[in-house]
Amino acid sequence: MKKVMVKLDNVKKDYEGKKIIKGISLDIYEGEFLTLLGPSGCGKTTLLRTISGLEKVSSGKIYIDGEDVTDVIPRKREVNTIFQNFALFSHMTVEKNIGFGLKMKKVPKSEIKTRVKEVIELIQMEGFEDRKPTQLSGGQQQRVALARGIVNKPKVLLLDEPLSSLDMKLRKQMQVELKRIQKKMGITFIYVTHDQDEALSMSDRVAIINNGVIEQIDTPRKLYDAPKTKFVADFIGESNQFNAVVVSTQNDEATIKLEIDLEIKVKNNHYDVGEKLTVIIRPEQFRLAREKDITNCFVVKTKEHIYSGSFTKVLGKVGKKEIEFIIYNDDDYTKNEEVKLKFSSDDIVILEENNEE
Amino acid sequence: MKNKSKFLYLSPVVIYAIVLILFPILYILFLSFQTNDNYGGIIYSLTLNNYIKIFDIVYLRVLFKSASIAFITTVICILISYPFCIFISEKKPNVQKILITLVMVPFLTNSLIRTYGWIVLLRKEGVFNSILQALNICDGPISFMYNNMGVFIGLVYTLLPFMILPVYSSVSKIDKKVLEASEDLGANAYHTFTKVILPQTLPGIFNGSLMVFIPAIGMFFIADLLGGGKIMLVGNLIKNQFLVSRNWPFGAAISIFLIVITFLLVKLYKKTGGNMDDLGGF
Ligand SMILES: Nc1ncnc2c1ncn2[C@@H]1O[C@H](COP(=O)(O)OP(=O)(O)OP(=O)(O)O)[C@@H](O)[C@H]1O
Ligand SMILES: [Mg+2]
Repeated sequence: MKKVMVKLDNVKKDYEGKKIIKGISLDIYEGEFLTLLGPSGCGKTTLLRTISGLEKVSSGKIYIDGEDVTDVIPRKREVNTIFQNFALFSHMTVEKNIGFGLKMKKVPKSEIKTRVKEVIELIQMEGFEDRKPTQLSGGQQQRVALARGIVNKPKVLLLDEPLSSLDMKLRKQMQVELKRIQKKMGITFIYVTHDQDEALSMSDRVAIINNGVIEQIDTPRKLYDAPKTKFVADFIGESNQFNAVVVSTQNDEATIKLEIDLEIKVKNNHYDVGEKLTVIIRPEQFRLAREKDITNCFVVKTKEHIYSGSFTKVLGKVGKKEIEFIIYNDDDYTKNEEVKLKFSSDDIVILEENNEE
Repeated sequence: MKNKSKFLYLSPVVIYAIVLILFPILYILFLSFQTNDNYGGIIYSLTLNNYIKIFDIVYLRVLFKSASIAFITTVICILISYPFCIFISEKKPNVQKILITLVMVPFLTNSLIRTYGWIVLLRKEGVFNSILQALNICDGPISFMYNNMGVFIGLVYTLLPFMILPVYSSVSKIDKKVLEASEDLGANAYHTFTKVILPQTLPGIFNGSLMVFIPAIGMFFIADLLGGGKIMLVGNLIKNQFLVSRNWPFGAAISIFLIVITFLLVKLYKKTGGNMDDLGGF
């Protein structure tokens, strides 16, 4: 059984009567890399600040390592934050910046020195000890901000979009470094981003937040393969979503009618006739259909071909509905006005909810 | 071509600086090496006597007294401005702008006239004493002026804005996130103040101190009006040399001496790691 390091129990937060966090419960395990992912303004930063204590919760409880810290002030919590804009102390050298937390905890000078030296090696910034933050590049400042947090060996490290101000190449490089450092130190990371690639590639689990609530929390793989809400399906990766209604059910098969007037056969999941569903098909789940009049066959009018190296993204229309699918280079495909697509009913996701209420 | 037009734009400032600042200073420098005759005239010579005379015990005492008064004035200004600026910086941006503008409003009136205003408030039958006595807080009138207290009140009042503006500019530059980072890393309020806030505002404090200390040494009219002529500051000394004793060369030497000290202070500030930009580009 994994140990729970941070536990949020129905945490709510209002600003001036406006509900920002609307009741979030969440267990984060020791050594886990958990990412909070969501659109801008959904409350990620606010949630993070309630964990660090910089923001008081309106209601609910927060536990860190089993201890109720809901009313504990920030400096008494064994949590450190890496701020989005670094928030380095501009009048201190790199070494002093990194050692600040230890000094405040009255760690002996000699120990501070060795521990600071260790993390400077870890972030590969030997030789920069005596520089001031303004004499460093963005990526270097980023690493110092990181070192200033991890040197304290906090139980939990909170990172608020720490890579958002870096350029693409440096960001990729820092993602790898962050992951390496997290593994090596075994610190629990709670990481905020609105970059889904970053979230999927680095995290053990991702919590998708929308409008102050968690839509789904799962491994990156599960989020993609088995989204539980339309929002998640839409937010993670590309998806074609169809409103549908159940026409008839057999034992383990159901026939449903999509909004594009197409009947398809899917696995029966205790559906009732007339029940409304949403069918989600990822672009790459479509395959070119060769056989004549098979079931589950889409006839698509193609509009645009977007070449992307190993594959080509195709935009098309079935009736009035826009859809998107992918053709791989080794598929036997020639650009066509009309193309037939199939999919396997094992792959696709069906949600028991529907847009047309 | 470009340089030429640049010079054209700058020329009014350059001419102003040359005619009204550089020439007078050069003339004062020249004067300081001359000798005066007993009738206020000048005998052209080349002598260091005027400078040697500054180190006479009588004048050293004036220098020391001036420096002490200027120093105490500076400290009082720091003690008032600092909490005031922190108070302002916590207000909403619009309120901050209004409050800072109010600080500058007194500049609209000549400081000599404002000093006369203080006499009305401070003298024995003045506003303050009338109120205090009406409220039975004290029996006899308090001597607010014609002593050191009057000089301090006048100097602090006149020079306070010169401390507030640079201190405010450095206090308002502090990033709130940095203070949160300090708290997050385990610093209590005292350590956040001494280790993070204070060091980052030190340039502002030093800048303000220069802007207060140097004029405080020279503000002769405040010492004259509120000190009742009993308090002799370097400013009074210089004024007296020019207008009363009519010993222009000696007055010039003291002026040059003050300028040199100012430069040394700025040099010292640079040496200790101060940034010239924070001083408004000396
Ligand atoms: N101090 C505050 N007072 C009032 N409203 C606030 C305050 N801080 C945040 N909010 C509001 O709370 C909501 C959530 O803000 P938050 O900063 O948590 O968003 P976020 O998910 O971090 O967004 P982003 O990805 O843009 O950083 C926003 O609508 C914001 O306007
Ligand atoms: Mg945010």
